Amino acid sequence: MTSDKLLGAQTLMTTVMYGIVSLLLFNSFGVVFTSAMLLIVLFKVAIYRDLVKGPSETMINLLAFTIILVVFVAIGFSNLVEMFVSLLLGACALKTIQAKSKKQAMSVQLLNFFVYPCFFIFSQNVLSLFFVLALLVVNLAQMLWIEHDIKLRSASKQATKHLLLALPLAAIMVVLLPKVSPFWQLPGAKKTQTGLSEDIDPFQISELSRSDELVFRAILPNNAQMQPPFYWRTLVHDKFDGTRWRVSPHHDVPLQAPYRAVGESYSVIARASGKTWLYSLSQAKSATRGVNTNHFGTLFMQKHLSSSIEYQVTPIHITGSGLVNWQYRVNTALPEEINPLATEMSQQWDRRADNTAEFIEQMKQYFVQNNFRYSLKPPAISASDSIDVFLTQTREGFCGHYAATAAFMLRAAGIPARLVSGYLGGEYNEERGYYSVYQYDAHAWVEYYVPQQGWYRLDPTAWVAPDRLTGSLSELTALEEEFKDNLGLSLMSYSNLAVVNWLRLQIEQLDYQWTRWVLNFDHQKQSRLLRDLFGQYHKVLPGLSVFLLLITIFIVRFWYLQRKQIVKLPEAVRLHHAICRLGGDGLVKVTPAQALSALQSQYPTLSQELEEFNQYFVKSRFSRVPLTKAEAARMKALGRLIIKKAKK
Amino acid sequence: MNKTTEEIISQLSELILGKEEQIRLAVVCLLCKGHLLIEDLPGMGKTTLSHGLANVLGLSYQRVQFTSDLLPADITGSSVFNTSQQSFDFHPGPIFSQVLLADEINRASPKTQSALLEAMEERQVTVDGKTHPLPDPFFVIATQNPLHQSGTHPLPESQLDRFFLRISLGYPDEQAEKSLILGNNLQRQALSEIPCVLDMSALAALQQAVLSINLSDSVVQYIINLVNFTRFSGQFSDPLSPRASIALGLATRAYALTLGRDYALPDDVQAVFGAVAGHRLNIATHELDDVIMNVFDNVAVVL
Repeated sequence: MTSDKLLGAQTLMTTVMYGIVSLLLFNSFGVVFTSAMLLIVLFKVAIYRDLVKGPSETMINLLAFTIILVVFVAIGFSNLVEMFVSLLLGACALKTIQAKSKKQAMSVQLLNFFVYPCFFIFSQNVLSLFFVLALLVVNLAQMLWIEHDIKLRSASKQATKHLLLALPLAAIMVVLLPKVSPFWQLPGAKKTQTGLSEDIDPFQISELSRSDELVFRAILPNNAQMQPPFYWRTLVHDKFDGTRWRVSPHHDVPLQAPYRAVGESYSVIARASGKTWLYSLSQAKSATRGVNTNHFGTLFMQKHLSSSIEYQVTPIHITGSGLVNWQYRVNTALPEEINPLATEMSQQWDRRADNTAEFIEQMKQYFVQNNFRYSLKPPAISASDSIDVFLTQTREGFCGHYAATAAFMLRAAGIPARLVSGYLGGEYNEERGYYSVYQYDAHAWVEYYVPQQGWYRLDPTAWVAPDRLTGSLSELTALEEEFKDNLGLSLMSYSNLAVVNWLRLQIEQLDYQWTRWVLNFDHQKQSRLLRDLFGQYHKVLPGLSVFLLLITIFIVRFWYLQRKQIVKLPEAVRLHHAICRLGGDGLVKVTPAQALSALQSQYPTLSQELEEFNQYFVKSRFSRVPLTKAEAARMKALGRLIIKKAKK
Repeated sequence: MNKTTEEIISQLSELILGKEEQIRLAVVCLLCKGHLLIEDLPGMGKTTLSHGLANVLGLSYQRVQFTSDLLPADITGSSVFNTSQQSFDFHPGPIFSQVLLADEINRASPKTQSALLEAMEERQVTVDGKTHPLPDPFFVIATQNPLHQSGTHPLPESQLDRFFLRISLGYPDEQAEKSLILGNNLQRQALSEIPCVLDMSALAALQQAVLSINLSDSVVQYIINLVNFTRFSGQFSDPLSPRASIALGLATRAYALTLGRDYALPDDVQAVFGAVAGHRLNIATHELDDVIMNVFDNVAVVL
């Protein structure tokens, strides 16, 4: 292979890696940029195969300009993080095409140490960790390949070795080196719209797309209070504009009203979502810094959740003075003249009912008797009186339909009501005792207000699909087909295969550990650990010890290298020296024959052994023919025997 | 190979009793195509050794007794007018022999010494503008009296360096001397009876074989350390030159060969070190043992 061709192969590998990365981040980058990246990869392959000529400098500049244009148009400034990462990827990919010399190729490889970890911006689970580690190993191997012309295979071996050597050091530094909070922070990549949204408008949706992406995990105390169904309250929607239920503008206003704790605390480990809201059962308060409670009793953060977080939750009961006037107005507000049928029906029920419970009972009977069906693929309703159409014609829908309808009818009867979205259920891990909640567990329900008593939960979906309450959606057999159709390609879709399910649960467990112990090893946890380890010196000692450790490692390493170079005494010589020292240190300096005769006169009984050892030793050191394996072994055995006997 | 060298040495040992080590060194010198300097008092057996060596190897032998009035032409030969041919004929001197014994070389004038040493170096003689090559092999054994004797012209250092080895036979031990007195071997008789052990091609093969002896890295390092010690310890006014290092390596190999090994040992280096370095370091023979023991004590053997 000519050197040009070799360099081509070396850089091609990097380009292909970029292609894989962009494909994996397809959800964040979108179809346009990903295809552009794939075109670049194809172009590079074509150049390598000599199908087309390498581009000129002008051509490269033109391509670069095109990529910038593609990024601006397809991704845009609104997604700042995606934009910069894609620009970086594009630029690096073009550089691999342009690289003509070792030096240029190396600069790309060096940059890769920055490019590959960018993957963590988008995903931090344990699989991403392995993926990025693999990329880094490949990158190191490529560097060895380019710089030292080592065969790729041995280069990868060396690279793996280097990385493994670096890991313990990295671990020590993560644990001990004091964490400094970042000077500035990226807003975090925007998440794809598979989870909750701030506006709920179920009737426009014909197919609910769901993903098996993990949202959070919860470790619940094992007591009677904490029994399913688990309704994870997340967002409260109390503004209805006729089609959409919007999230309350007061969502990030901290709670002022008095409250009291009503139960045992539990902890939740939430994945980066890029949003401010958090998850809790019932109304809740958190002792974790940065986590606040609003007046709906749901948790929220001041900053966007750009990395994983673990927080404590204490259930509370807000003991306010009931709904004040404006709150009452907000929670019963309906636009004029929509859904006349539903309004009429609701007012009829209200006239017949003495209290809210009776009203709800009539609503329940209506749903049960009229064959309403739970479906993840309901027909879309585009009419403006969507609830009327749903009630009288389609009668098919998922949680959003039932919740929105019920909330509308409650309000039509003058009962304060609001929509709550969050998650229902969770998959229980028997071994570790935690619940995993995925995006497909997303749910919506209703809360209504009873004067002097407070807010009550109402889940109309349960009337039509009672199974939905007991477990996670994934465990719901009736909807299995529909559910899996919607998931697309993922391990979850094959969970009826025992092996796949086992594998899925293993990865899931590994990911839990990773998140718990590494990702969430934050400033607080670190300082607690350091205080335990170092006592009152926890502010100075850890940093100092890491510093000293690094210096020691460097010194030992270089000392070892140097020693290896100058005093590389072979084993035979060391053994010979050891034997010589039996007769005094001076014997180390004389010739083997002189040493032999001196030792023989000193240890007459060992004369034979000494003689034989000397023969092998002299042969091994001075002869052109090396010792055979048997001879070497014999020499070693003799040497040990002599030392042992002489010491007696 | 080993057998031949052993044979040579045992034959010569019968001739000169109790001097096996010196004989071995003389053979080493021959195998290395070097010239030998024997420094001894008169009557120690120098002549016997050189003559015996020539006989054992089946080489032609000439002896020149150096005196103060010896002229260069007396060694190299001269052109004599041939009246019948009306031309000058070159009459080769005693130097045109395979083994030349230059007896008591330090009695001759420096001019004559130089003529011999030049011939030794260049292996040719130029007389009246005509170059005459010397026979091959060409082996000079020079003897000299200890320098403190009267009427001697010491060889300059630069010319001493031309001699590959310097040995000294020294007095025989008591046992050997007893045999000598009793006349158990009447030397001159034995000399003529000594059998020829090898021919010229065998000698050439032996000389070639010297280069195939393995000189391991550690032995080379030991040689370097020894040489460096003479250079940097400050104990020697005339340290060893690279030519001496080369000679040391070569002699070590040849010494190993005479002992039947195909690899050299540090012991071989020590065995030849005195002979190679003594005259180059300008150390008198009677002080040599002490000096080299001091060197060996200071330079550790490299294994």
